[in-house]
Amino acid sequence: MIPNLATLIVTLVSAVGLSVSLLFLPALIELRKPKDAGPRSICDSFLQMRLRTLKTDLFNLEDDWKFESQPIDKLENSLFFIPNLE
Amino acid sequence: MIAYLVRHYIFTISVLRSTGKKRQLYPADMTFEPTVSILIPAFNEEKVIARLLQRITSFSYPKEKLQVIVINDASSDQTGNIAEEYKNKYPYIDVLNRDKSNGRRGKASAMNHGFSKCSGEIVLCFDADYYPQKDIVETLVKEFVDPQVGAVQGRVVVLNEPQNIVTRLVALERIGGYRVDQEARDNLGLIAQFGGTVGGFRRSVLKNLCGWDTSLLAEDTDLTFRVYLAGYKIRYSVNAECYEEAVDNWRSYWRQRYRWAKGHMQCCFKHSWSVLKTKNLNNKEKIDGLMLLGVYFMPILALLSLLVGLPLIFFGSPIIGILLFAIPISLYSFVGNFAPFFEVGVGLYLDGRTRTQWLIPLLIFTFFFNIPICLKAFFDVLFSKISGRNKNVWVKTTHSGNGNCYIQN
Repeated sequence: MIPNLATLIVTLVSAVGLSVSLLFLPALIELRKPKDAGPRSICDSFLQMRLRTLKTDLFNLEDDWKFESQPIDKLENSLFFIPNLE
Repeated sequence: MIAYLVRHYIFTISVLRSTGKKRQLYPADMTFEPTVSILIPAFNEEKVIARLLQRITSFSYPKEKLQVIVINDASSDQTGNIAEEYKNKYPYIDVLNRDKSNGRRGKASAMNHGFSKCSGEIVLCFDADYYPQKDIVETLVKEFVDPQVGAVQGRVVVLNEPQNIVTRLVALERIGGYRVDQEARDNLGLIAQFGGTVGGFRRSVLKNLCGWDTSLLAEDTDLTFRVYLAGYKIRYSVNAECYEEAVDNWRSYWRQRYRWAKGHMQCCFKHSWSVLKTKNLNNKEKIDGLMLLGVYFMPILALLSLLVGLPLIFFGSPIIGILLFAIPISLYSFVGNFAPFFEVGVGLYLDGRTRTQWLIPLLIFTFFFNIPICLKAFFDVLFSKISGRNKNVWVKTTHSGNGNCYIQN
């Protein structure tokens, strides 16, 4: 069955519009209200740099851990009906 | 093109795996402090030159081992006067004034003039709009402990990143290039690239190579390959950071990238054969070297793949076409062409700037903008090869000094 032209155009335009919005919306938000506009601050010494690298690694580790722990939290929440035996 | 795609992923994974590992160059109790000459070519840089010279005065490297040469390339503004003021105050700063008769012939010519006056064992180069960390000299210089190292390159960070959308996108490109691409090359023992600034050479090596080649627009890429072909290595030091003032409008972006693209293509024609037949490079380095030389041809090939891939997605033959052509080519068009974006994403992650990753989709615009730039550069190089006329016009990037307000320390 061939859909009529108007439906086809509306569907196509909506699909393209939605995809483009989804793709660029975060970028537009960050451009309008930047939470990290830069610049990356350079360090004055090697020691400062090592400390910052360590801090970034810890930050990323924490972020990754949060991400990985999400399914566990969900699972934990979904098992609320099991009686607490303690 | 698939090789480039694979390369991007290998580089990204390599940097992710190596992050946090510290490279031990020499024992902690050993001091390595050779004499160092710093070359600063400057043509009409009155808005930024004082910033750099002031910063140099606060460098932690022993001043008695430092020689700073400002090459005032026949500037018509106050650049020369500002540099002279610093020369009068600090004995290790010198100014080399070029007039119109011998100046304004491009950066390579100015660098050669400055190099002829150098006395340091190591020669470092900084552009006038740059602003380095205080211990950059020792961080860069310690790589020369290894006698095999002929040159070193530090990391470039965009200073005026918050200024507008162009500077923010350039900053993303720099992060991909310096936080991931260059570091991966160094980790994997491939061809680390000298970027023309925030880096330097062992003076004896540069002397043997007869300095900078003035006939090319990408004199830095040319030197990179001449160093490797001479049997030396280039090291990349991610811990040697330096701010640059990035181009802040599309017209300047076009001019700068056109110069890079054309210069790179010139180097491709000049060095490809030598890279293939040299005994000073192993196979891994040869492959990476050839890919590096051909990198500015990629936007042109990407255009071709998009031209072939997109119609196949919409009008491809339902059976054989989809299986044999449409899927791989369209997949490459949509995923492969944008493989560098993964590098940028990982670079931002390693810098702890995950929020800035939101801007990555906007890189698609610079990707498409680079296609006509490289096409024009390609046809210009081709035309000059056919006609035998090699006309290189050095279009200098103008620096407005807009980065000054972002300097905090």
